[in-house]
Amino acid sequence: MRKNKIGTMLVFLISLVIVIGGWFLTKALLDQKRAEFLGKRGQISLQPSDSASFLAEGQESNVSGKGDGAAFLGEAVSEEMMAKVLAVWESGGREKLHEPKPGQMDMEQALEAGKSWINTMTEQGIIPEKLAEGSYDTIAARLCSVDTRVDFDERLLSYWSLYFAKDEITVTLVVHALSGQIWKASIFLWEEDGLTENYTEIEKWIPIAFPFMKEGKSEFVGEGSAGRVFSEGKVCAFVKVSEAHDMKGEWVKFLLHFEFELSLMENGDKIYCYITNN
Amino acid sequence: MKLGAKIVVSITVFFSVIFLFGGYLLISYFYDITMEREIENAAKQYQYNKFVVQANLIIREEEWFTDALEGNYDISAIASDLNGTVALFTMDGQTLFSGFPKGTELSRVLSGARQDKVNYQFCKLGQRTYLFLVGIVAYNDAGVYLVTGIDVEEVLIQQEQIIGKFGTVYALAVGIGICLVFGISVFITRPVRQLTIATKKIAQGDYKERVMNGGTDEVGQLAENFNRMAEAVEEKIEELLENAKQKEDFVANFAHELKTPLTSIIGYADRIYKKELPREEQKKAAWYIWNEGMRLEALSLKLMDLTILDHKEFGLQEVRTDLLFYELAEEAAYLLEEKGVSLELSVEPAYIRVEYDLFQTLFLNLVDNAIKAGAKQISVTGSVGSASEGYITEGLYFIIKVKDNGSGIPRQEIERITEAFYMVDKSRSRKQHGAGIGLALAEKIAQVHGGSLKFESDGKSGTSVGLCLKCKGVEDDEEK
Repeated sequence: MRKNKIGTMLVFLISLVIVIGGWFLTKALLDQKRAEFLGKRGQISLQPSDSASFLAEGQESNVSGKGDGAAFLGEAVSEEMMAKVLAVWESGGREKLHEPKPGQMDMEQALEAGKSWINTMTEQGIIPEKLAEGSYDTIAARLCSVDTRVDFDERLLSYWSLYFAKDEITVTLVVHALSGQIWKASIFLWEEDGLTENYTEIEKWIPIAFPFMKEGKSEFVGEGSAGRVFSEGKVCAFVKVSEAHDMKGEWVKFLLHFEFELSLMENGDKIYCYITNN
Repeated sequence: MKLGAKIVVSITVFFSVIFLFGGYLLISYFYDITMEREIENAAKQYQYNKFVVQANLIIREEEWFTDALEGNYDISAIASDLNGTVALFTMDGQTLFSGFPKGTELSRVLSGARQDKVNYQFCKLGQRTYLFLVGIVAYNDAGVYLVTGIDVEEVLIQQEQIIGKFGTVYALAVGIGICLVFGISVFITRPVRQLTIATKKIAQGDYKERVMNGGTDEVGQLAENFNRMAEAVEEKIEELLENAKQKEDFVANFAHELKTPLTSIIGYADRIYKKELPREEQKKAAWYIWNEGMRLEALSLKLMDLTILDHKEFGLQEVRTDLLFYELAEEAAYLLEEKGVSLELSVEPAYIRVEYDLFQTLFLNLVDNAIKAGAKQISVTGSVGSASEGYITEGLYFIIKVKDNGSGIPRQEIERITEAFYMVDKSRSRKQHGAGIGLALAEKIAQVHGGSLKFESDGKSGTSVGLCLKCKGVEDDEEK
């Protein structure tokens, strides 16, 4: 009987040790795992921009030079493909940053393309000349893509988002990373910096802003806006100038907003309606 | 160790281990995914910062470093555009900018940094833990170390909280679990405990002890079977006690029945031996000795018959009832005539299966019993009945009734009348050489024939003895 009681007590004691000790063991194991994590060192690959190394044998790199302001010979994108890419961009998927992939322009090339576009626009008197001087207060560039699955080459989805700022004039450009074409631009400037005399014929800005656009199918013009439909009728380019006033001390200042944008024709119809109604 | 305790201990230990193991796996998985997510987010922030720094490198090239080192260019202007806590170092390790607390030594994290890959590691700075991502941002011949530190202290605190909550949940689960399992084990083992108590009581001689029926499960079935077993044991014990009592009574009665004639025999033999008796008295004594000897002989024969009836199998033969009872009446005629008793016979013809000699003994015993009861008239009837009349469950039956007008049997004595050596009026019985064996023998014979004697009497005006046997109608035989 006594032996039985001792046995029972022993079993209870062992189970108590398992139940309580098990908890401390688990906690110790978890702490150990955490310590392992915190002591962990590793490397993450950021996909380097050495695009030439990814090119197939015999294929010429579209980068004519590196680090010396080399021009980017981008791949031509058909209107149909352009429409597909725009559809994905406009679907509003999650944006992800990445390093340039093979065939895509690198940052230097993107900045060169951006500066070149700004220079062209200043030469045409669309935006003030002081932006062409080159020394910007702020420059930012990031290569983005949309985190989604597509049935075409994913590299087509990437774009460089460039930002140039000088003396309260800001230029934001969206450069298609594979073609090197500027598909969107947004310029903010104060009215006093702008060139108001040219705003009357803004439809002429379209071939300047989108030089890769061949003969358009149709054109539409409204007050402060104009658009042109691409030859296949799937994509349209439009330009829009708008203004907003802002109290700056005792003075009322007008902020001009120039928008240059490629858009899907479905959306272009809306734009067309908007433009013609105005 | 009790069954309930075994259940509680085994279930508690089993579920504790499962719970802890499951918790460990879940929290480990949570660690993995949160850390991977932190590294992934940090990589995104680093990528963003890298773009910002790279853009400045492209635009300003090496002048940037010189100006920054000489204090002519405030890098914090671009640092405000950067994500996380950032530090920039020249390739020779000089600090261009650091958003980390002053005095933070970061040179150790720079070693092994590459341009195409980013090194990451966790470091403790003061009270907080940072995830450092270190890489080189280069343009032409110029390059900088870019260190991006992401504060992961909140994540670690969250992990600590999860462990703490897991501990609380575990303690609660174990506590509540033990209570629940204890309750369940008490509920489950209750019938077993009742069974244990019941078996103890039965072992101590309380055969009436039963357990509550605990439902239809295995334990319930066990309880039910136990009750059945206890009932069977109780019945058997009662039967054994009854048998033991009967045997005891039998031995006592037998001894008593032997003693009376032996006393007479010894007494008269002693008298003849010790004294010179006249011839008349000698004859008288010899007659007593002969008479008591006859009684003893009759007693021994009947006892022998009783013993044989218990152990022998008899072959029954089909006989016609009217003829059988006519023959039996013939057999009893001398006895009846001697005692001056009339016998009235009224028997329907039918076929019953009997062992003739035994049945004759049964009949003569019943007639003898009636004569001993002082009957002057005995009527024997035999009639055929059907099962629907209630005697037997199927087929035809033949009921024999022997009625007399003797002194009868008191109602309270009827139940014991077939016990061996049981006599209603002992003195009268002994005078008539009775030993209380006749009716016991008759009952045994009735049982051999598949029936049982049924006595009916008001204790005053005679007795009726009935016997019911399976029979076959005469018509059935004639049809054959």
